[in-house]
Amino acid sequence: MTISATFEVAWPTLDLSVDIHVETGRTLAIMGPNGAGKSTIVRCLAGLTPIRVGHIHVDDAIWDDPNMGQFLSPAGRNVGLMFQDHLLFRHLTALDNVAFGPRARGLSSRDARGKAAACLERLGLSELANARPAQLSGGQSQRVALARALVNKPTLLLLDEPLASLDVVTRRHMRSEIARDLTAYQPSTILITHDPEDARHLAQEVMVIEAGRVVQRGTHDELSSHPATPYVAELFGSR
Amino acid sequence: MSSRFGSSRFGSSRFGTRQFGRRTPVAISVLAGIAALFFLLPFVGLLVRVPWSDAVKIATDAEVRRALWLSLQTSTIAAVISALFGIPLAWILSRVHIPGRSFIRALVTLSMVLPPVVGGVVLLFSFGRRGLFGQYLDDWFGIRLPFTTAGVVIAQVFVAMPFLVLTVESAFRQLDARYDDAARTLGGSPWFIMRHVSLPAVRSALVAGFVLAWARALGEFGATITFAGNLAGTTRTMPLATYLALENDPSSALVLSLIMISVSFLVLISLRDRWLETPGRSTP
Repeated sequence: MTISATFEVAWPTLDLSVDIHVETGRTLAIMGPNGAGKSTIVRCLAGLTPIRVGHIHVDDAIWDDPNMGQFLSPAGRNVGLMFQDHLLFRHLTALDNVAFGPRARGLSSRDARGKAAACLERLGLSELANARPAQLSGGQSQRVALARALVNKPTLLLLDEPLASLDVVTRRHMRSEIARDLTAYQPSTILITHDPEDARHLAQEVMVIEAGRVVQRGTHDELSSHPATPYVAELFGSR
Repeated sequence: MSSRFGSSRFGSSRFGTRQFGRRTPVAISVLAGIAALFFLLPFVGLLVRVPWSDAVKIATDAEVRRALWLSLQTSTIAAVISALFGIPLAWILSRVHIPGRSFIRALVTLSMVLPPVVGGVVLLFSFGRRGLFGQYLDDWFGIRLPFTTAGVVIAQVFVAMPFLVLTVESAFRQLDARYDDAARTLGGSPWFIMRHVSLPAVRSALVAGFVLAWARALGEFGATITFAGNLAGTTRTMPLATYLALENDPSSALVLSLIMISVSFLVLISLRDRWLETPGRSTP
């Protein structure tokens, strides 16, 4: 499915205007300084913040279109969202965290657990099933959070700085794990990150926004060899 | 004695490196000790004076058993009612921006600081038989609250619910709203998220609030005697029975007091370890 979104958000603190396209199974990395509006983009796409102007379409489905008075709730969109700090439900085991989505969508608790167990197995996490979030390492809880976001086979996967809370070594390891997980599920993915390495390994396309505006898009190599702004140059370590 | 204890502690910890920097100032220890004694001594006084030889006879007296049973029943019902209405109220106060929210919060907590007798007066003149609303309850539905067990429960809810609302509201407010966001994207309806994310996350505050409300209801005296009266078997709860006994037979008042203390203390102790370890700090 193709995600196509053009929208504006006008807040006292943020004036955002972007357009985004992601093809099925592809990953778009969005980079930019703090306060550029990256997380707001995620919230708009997830349906947590309605857009003011523009539209968010997924193939023929309308997710948000103020002109047509249409707004699809987060539950109706089937997005997977993963936060920087993972936000696993602490009172639930890893398995029940993953089963939360299927359960919320009406599956019986047994079927939801079955689906969650299958998902954990697919991602090679079966041995963590009965662990509580407090017992998981940073990398482990990151993978479980990703499993939770993937289990419903989301149309759009939103990763908001998924690796930021991990140390450098774990991050390198997790990057290849995530790449494998994405290959297994093939969602259209938007990855928010500060690290060009994340973008290089996980995304086919990179988009840089500054102060709510897209300043450049292209592949990692294009951006690092022909940076459009000083910020992009600094980010990719070009001359 | 405290100074000798204090100075020896001071000396050892000044040169013993491990404890250094974590010492408790002597003055703090002394003041804290006095505070603890202040709560301990009255109970020692009570235990010494209890007529142990007659205690069993007094405690198993039919009148006392009725009062105790009535107290346990009404305060449990009052705590359940407080939870049923208080948890939604706590949620609204913590999450929803409604006009006059601070006014509502002040109103809810008012009965915590009011003398309970005033609470009883307020209830009497609103829900009493000739009260503003009470007369319609009587005329239309035939419901009379004063001098009934239902009246006891109403009086208890009036003074107890604020404890639950305040406890639970502060826990709801400390919840990271992004857990809700995560749950919403996973497909949860608001009701599903409430049951499976928000309420479990504040579980310890729910239990703490429930126990506080229950204990407050169990000890309710002023509003009960003002609004519901003092009828044996119907509205005479343990606190009322204890007060009455103090006038007639002080030694049995001691036994009744001991019973109430034991019941409350047992409940608080048994809940403490399991549920109240980290009150306030709650994330899902």
